[in-house]
Amino acid sequence: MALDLFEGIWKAQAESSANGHTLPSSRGATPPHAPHPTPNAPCPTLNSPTPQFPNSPTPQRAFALVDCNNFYVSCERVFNAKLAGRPVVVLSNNDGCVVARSEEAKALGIEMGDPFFQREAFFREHAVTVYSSNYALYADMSQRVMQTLAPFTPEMEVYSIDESFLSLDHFPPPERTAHARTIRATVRRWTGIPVSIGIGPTKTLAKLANAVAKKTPVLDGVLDLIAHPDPDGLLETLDVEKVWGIGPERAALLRNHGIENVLQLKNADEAWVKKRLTVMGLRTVLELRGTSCIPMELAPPAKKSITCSRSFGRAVATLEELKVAVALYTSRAAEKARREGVAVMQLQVFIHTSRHRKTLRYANYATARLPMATSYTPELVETAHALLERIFRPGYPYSKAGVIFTQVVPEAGAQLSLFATPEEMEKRKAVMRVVDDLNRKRGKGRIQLASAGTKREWSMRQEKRSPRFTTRWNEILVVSADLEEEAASDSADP
Amino acid sequence: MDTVEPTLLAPQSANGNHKTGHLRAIVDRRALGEAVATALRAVPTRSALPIQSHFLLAAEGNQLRITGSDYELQIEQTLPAQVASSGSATVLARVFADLVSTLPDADVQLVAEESDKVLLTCMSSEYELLGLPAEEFPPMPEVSGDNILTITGGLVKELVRQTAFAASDDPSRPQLTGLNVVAEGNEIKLCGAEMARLALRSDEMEQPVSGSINAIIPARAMVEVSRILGNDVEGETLEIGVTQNQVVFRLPNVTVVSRLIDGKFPNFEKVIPKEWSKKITVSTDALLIACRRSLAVAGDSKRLLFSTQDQQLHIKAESGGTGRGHEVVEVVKEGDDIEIAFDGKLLVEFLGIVGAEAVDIELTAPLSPGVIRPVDGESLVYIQMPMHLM
Repeated sequence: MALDLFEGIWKAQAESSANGHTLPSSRGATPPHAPHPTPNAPCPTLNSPTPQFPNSPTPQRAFALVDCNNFYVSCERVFNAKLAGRPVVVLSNNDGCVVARSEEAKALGIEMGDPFFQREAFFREHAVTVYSSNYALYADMSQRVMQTLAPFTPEMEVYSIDESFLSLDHFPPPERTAHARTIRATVRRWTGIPVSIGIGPTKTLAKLANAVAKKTPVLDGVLDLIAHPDPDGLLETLDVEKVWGIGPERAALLRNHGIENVLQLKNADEAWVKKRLTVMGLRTVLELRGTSCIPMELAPPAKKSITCSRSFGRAVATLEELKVAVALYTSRAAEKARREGVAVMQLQVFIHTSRHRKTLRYANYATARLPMATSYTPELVETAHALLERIFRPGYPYSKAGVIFTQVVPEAGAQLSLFATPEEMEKRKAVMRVVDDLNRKRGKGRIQLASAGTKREWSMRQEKRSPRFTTRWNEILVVSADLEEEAASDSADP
Repeated sequence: MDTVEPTLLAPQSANGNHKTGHLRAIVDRRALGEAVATALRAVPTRSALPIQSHFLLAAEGNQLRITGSDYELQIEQTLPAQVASSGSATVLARVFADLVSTLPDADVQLVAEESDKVLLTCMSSEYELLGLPAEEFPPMPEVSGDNILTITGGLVKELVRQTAFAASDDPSRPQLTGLNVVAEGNEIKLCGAEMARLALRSDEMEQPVSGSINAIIPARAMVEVSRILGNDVEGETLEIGVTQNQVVFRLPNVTVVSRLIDGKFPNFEKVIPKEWSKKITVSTDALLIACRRSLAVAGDSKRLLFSTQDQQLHIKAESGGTGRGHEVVEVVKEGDDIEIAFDGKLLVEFLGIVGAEAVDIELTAPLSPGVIRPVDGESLVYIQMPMHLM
């Protein structure tokens, strides 16, 4: 049997503890000679409960998470009042599966990810209104919500298309809830979108508070966890999966070790958490204890990649058709890069057949580094086509293609090339500026490379898309009013 | 095309006719270790073909030859041996290298009854090493040509050191992964370049080149030759022969063969600015240290902003995630003040190899190339493109 190198030290520690001294060691750390925990052994927990949020050692912060309720469905409802109180779902690209549900749809047992083709009859039977994704509308509505939120806080982080973190540090606790209610009412009035607001001393707790606010009608869409009389009691009622950053795999691991609710995770031993869930898991636990570890990102992080990919409405088998698709996606991604002031250093093209096919399955990708960062569409399309030719195999029914700019750098400050003069680069930029201006003023795709084609029979299916009410003049909502009746009612007014 | 003098360039195992008789040889462990380490430089870490992971061992006369090859670069080292029977065999290169490096310093006996199995004996150690048939090993290319230059080892090392760092590692522009070697008369020029920088080094050779040479040699091959030359190269000469698609370096006991890179190297003479309107003379060390410190806060872009004011050079670096820095370096300035941004990492690489106490930085405009030369010589020219000003 191997001798224990640390035997003397452990003995000294034990004696020291017996004498009332505590040797410095990490809280709850397991000594090396202790029996190894079995794979599913319960996670060690702290001997005493962690302090409640108000006793947090650092100055307490107040984060509010504003989350739009069933966002895509809510956007559709803004422009169609008849949808109120009725089951509504929004489908993913190509009308594949359910990606958003109204509360009424959820009550019918419709799950996220349900394939449309399997549930079509059910939807008809229960009069479920079905929409294709209308990303132009959702992006514009999102921008309106964020613009409405901005004046309510000195610090805001737009976290996703339907979520924002707001700093409410400057509000004393009694006013915080009232302020949150004002925010909620204003967003609803100005944009028509219902939101829920959760407040906590950390972003993770604000997320949890938001989830509770959304599901608890009596809270009227707002929960301030900092002012809650028994936050631990509340955390004990929440499943561990509810925690931001705890996905299904981690949740299964935690449950295997006896951690089923949020309070148990909060009280879990730090060393154990770090070992099993890495430092990211430890950060989550510290956040649950009220120590803010995830700061606000006030400026959107620098873009690291840009992707443009679509599933085809029908299988595509020829290189010519794929080239058109790849040219189109590259052009769109390049336009986005220019809009965001970045240039591309490396790009990737991928193609694949349907994952559900039993035969004739193929998937591949190719990557190229560009000699110098560029956002010049013709150069990018030429590179993308060369990559496509490398990976294309004839005879396969391709279901999707895409282009990813895997390395982008800010255009301002980009490295110049020895072999391209600044004048040439300026000329390219000028051409792209003109193209972008025309497309902005006259409509997307008004000027494009011929290689991006005009007939795209393989385009994505969006058979149930609502009009792009807020971004296309020709799709703007038309409101009819009975003028005679209105005039009569006007004259009747005192 | 004339054939190169056989004693110089033609390898002993030309045409792939590896003698596959019974190899029996005894070599000194230390000499074997050194030879193995040299040949191993050509063995790829991951190989597409199994034979590329092998050494060819060939005994003939009073020599043992050890060859490693990845089909692009082939290194053959010879060492003295007592050869009882000529023949060849292959062994797994890394296994053989690991084994030889741990054997005691004594005679090592190598016996191969078949070309894919070698019995190694050294004092009380005995190993049977499996390989592949020697016929599968790529033959040493037959090299002929009339473009040969003889050059001192020291000069080769210096030329490579001051240019290879600037060569590109981007395989999509293969020409730039090589060094352009141009030799005519007694003059030799080496140029390494990538899209943002170029280093050109020229010098005089003691002996004129026979014919003329203008070839793109993989930077990797040049660096390997430079490494093989070692540090003590005083008085050592090597011969370089260039054919249409290959280059052969003949060093004492070592032959290195590499393919040449096809295509045209950019016309470097055209890229070098002929005029400047601002010139800064600065201590190399002071600039290098200031740039290195600034890079700590420059973030991923490695962008350093240089501006002159009176006789001072201000270096500023900044990145959102780390902070900002400001360094001031005393300089001698001619011409107007200028503000220009460079990739600090590239600049530091050059300053690290320039080997001069001070450098002259010649500039014209914020978006025009900067030229840097050592103050005490014209033989090295370095050009770096700036970055856009924010």
